[in-house]
Amino acid sequence: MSGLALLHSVVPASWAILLAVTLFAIGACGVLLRRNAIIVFASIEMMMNAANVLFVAMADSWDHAAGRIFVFFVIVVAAAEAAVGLGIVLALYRLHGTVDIDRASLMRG
Amino acid sequence: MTDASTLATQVVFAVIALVTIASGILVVTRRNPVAAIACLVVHFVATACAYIVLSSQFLGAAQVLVYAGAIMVLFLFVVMLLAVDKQPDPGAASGLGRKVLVAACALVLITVVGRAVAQHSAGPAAAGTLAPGVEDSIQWLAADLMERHLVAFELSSMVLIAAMAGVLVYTTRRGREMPGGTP
Repeated sequence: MSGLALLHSVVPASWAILLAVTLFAIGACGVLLRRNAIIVFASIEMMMNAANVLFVAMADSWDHAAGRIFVFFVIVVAAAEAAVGLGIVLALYRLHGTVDIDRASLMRG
Repeated sequence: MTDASTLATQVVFAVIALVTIASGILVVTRRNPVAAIACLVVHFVATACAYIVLSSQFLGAAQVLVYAGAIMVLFLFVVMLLAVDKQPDPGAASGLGRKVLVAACALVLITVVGRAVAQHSAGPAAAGTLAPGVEDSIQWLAADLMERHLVAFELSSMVLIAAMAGVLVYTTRRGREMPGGTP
């Protein structure tokens, strides 16, 4: 793999892993603590983003393209997921008149 | 790479990481959904900067376009549509601390942009060229994406179409008004 050493950054992999884990923890706290469906959804996006940071860090650390390809597809799926998820929030608001997820405890409307 | 530039890169990454974590905490702790989404924009832009420092320049650009652009517009659109923020935001928009923060941000922006402009005008690069490392990185990613992962790449467009069609189906039900009174 000649020429790929150019791509290798000087940031220690442990820093990036620490960043990713911290972001995932913050996102998990948001999902568990908040009741506003939109903020919960934003926290889920943050957790997805943390996984992306980890993929990029490992791709950088090991000089391997697979991590970057994964991140590309995760971004594509995240766009679809955001549209579907926010559509669900809209539908939830139509049914219950609120975005409080504690009020939406029934599986059937 | 020299020790000084190594250290500079590491300091830049540390600053970006701190901004990312701080804005992430703000997303979770803000009561006002609009403020939380604004912090989420900062969070995603800072993450894009982290990608660039970790030598994934194309992914940084894609992150800004898709996350900080498209997805954040969707979030803000839904927040505004649902009129979640009924109570006014108490005690904001004034105070010395905020003014100092705004001034510091403006100063940093002017310094960074000024430095970039000065560097660029000092050594004129040919239009449309990139640094060698960046060009290699993007070529490499594109070749891998378009050769080995072409089927997955095409299928991802079907995922987007299917998601869009699905959302249209279940959000445009006829004969139902929103209880909040907003259209």
